[in-house]
Amino acid sequence: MTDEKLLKLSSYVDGACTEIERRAVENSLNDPEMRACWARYHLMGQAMRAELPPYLDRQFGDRLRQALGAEPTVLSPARRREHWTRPLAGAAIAATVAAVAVFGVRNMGTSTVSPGAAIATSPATLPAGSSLVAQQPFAPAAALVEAPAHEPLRAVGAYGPGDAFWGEPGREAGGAPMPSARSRLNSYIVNYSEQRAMMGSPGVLPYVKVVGYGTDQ
Amino acid sequence: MAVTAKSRGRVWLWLVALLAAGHAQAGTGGDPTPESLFESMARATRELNYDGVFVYSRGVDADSMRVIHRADENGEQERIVSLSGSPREVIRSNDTVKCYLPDRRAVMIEKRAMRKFLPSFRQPASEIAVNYQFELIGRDRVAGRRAWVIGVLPRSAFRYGYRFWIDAENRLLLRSEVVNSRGTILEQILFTQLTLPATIADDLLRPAVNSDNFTTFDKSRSEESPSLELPVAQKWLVQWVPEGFSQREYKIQRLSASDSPVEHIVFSDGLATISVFVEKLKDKADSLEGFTAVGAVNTYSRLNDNYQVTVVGEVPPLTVRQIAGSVVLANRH
Repeated sequence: MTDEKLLKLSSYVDGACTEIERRAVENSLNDPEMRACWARYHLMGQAMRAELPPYLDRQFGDRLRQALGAEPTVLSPARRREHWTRPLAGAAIAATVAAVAVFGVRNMGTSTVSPGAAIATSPATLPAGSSLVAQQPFAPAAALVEAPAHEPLRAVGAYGPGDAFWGEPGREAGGAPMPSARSRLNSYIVNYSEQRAMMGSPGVLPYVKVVGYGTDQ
Repeated sequence: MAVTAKSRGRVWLWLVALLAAGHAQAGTGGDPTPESLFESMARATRELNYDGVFVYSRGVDADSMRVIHRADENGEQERIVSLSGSPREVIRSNDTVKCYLPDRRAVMIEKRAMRKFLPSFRQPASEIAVNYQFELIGRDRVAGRRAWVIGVLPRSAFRYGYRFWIDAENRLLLRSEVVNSRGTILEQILFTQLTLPATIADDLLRPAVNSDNFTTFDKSRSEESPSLELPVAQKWLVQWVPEGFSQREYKIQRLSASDSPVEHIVFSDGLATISVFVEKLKDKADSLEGFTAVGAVNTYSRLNDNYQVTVVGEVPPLTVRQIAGSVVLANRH
């Protein structure tokens, strides 16, 4: 299947194609391969709009990841380097205010990008102006105006939820920080969470986030 | 059948009365404004008794928790229990917070000055509306209850947006979302079950875990020693935060993971909180640089001479980075 076909299919699923393109895609759906792909894109589209049922089994995630991995174009996330902070982001932030202080550094293993992260960041790899960008329900009117000129918004799109650590652009990002630096960042985030809980953002239950960050692998 | 003038008149009267009634209803009993929903939600969260189960998800992780809240003449009591993973509990009785960590066999006790809770808790919607646009999205159902859905949209790209599902009857929060500018949900709280008992027994507010053999760490005497001060020459200045954020807190903390005292400056716009941490490093090789993310919380770290600057906030990566870049030594400006 050509990349162009896939791209068209993708925009079809997102409702972003022209009438002519729509007909072309619908004709091509007679092809079983194309149809399977259609179902997959549709699923991903749903996932990105958070329409999926909340309880997904883990095998489903694996299947989705495999499907994404086998799909070289369009919606698979850009290749990225894995860094040390990913496990931290995913799991190992200490329990409460002083847990880090008291218990010291926790051993954080490594993990791979999960399917959720792939889905969340994939819109960044879509061509600008595609439907996913256009559909954003929370786009502030001033978004592009207020964004500092030296900081392309495209770059921001690379950092999705649960995303991996990225080094300074243009700088060798490989060197993982020392364990002491990790635990420092850990204690910053825990302190921040406590602060946020104290500020009591309306509607956000104080301490929920602190309890939440305690989740272990 | 002929219609008499009298009966025709009666029909008209009836119609006029109907119209008038409809009009009056639109004027007084119509849809609530999103601002009033938002404010009554903050109040209901503090002032009502409730017992519910919710899912808290951020990024790819999700946990379910039970929250029990009691408000009476003795103030606020609250217990949050993690239903997934280790059964951690946080029990708050007014300003005292106890965290039970079975996986660590530990209890942490902390005390918080109550006055610190109040200002932002009671931030009027009109002040938040300077930076966010409130909108009534519609009606929905959560945990079997009818809800109003409101959107709180950022007025600039430096913030995230929020959606709140608010109980139509009692104004409790039933669901909340933090959403980025692409519409991706970064963090979510979703109640699956909620009851509002008239009274809540003391038993429900006691920890379920047996903490007899736990080690207790009592921090209620405050870790932040007031005598901790930095020479003026070491104080740092945050030159830029997005418009609408103001400084709420400045403290110097002693963190066990850090060799030097850490300056901690807190900003808020009434919804989002941002922390700036600065500390002197003994060894540059020990530095952090770049981004991390946990749900809606982003961090950006950089090295400024021998100082580590880290910004942590419930704001887009762009914002934490921009703030980190604006942190300078105070005496140079």
